[in-house]
Amino acid sequence: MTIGDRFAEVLAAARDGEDWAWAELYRELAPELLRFLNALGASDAEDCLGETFISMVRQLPGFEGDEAGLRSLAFMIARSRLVDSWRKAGRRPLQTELVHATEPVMPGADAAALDDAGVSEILAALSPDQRSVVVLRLLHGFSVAETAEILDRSAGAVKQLQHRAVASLRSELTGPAPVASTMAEVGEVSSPRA
Amino acid sequence: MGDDNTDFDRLLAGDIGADDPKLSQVAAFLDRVQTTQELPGVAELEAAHIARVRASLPVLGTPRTQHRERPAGRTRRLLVGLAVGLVASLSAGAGVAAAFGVNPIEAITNLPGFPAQLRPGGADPKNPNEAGTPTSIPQPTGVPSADHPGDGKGQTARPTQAGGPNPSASNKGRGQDKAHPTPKASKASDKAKSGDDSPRATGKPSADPTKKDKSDKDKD
Repeated sequence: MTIGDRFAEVLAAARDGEDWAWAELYRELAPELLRFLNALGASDAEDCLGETFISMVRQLPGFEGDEAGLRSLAFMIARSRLVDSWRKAGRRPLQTELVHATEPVMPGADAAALDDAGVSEILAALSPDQRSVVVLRLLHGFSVAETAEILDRSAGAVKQLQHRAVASLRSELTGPAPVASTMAEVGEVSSPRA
Repeated sequence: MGDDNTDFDRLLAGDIGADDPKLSQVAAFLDRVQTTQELPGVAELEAAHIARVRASLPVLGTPRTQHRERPAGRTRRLLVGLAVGLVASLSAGAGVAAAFGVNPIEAITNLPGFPAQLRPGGADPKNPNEAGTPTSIPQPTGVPSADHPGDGKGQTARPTQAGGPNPSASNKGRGQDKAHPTPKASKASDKAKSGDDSPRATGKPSADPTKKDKSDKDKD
């Protein structure tokens, strides 16, 4: 984010309902949030993004923190809206993973030569929480603690998700994954499975 | 697991060598993720989403709006209350004054502390000598009827008052008028005062000086 020293001013103006402040927050946060929602396989990522900002309007009066804290809050809200959209649609992202659990999506594929569709397909093979951890840490540069806050998990749980994500990617790219590791995923996925 | 977490950190840092072919495949994949997952444009979405944000703001009732409206409402109610109270008190005061037979305006102007500049004629009742000198001798404006000889209030231009000590244009003399004997009650005394050329003394009050002179001549 590039708001920097003006963050307190922008935040106060946004709380007062100033359009320019919301526009500034939107330009800073929306691109990252939209990429996050797309990477997690949101069916209507743009609508989810709009819902995220409406939720921010409601939560902003009680927010106390710095710019990084607001960024984490925005991602937390975006993920909640995504889970809600999954519930409404009755979609179960885990089903895709279970189908491919014993069969690699692209065994022996040259990872460096994958196109967009190939990358998305392999990412879809991860569980929602594994995918969230990879995207948040790899694409958005969040620390383990920040990722844990966004996912409402402990730091230890986030590290465990990292470990399983790497193992799953190995198996997807080079060969079948160990069954024990795959079965352990069943108990780790949070609300979107419900 | 600890090794895997270290591996993940190394993967994030791009510090994976060729010693682990499987891990290097994962590293290549993560690099590919970073290059393919670019930041999308949101310019075309901004207007619609900001409009949704703006629409949700009034529901929340932002503090600034609440603080702005409350004092305005209080001030408006206070001003209306003051105006209504002022009108009511003035009406009641005028009614009470009229009931006691006092000219309300005169009673108000005689109140202590009332600005002398605002008094009719600019006279100060405490210092009648300092009152403004009338620019002209007041002239009677009408002839009081015989049935209501005291009905000359407001008609202050009696000839006898023209040169009085306080020749105010206003009628201060309603009480004074009552103090004067009515024509009917003072007929006998009027006859005794045959030399009095006052219209009141004749029993035929006339505000017309020419008539007064004529009646005086008749008497003579």
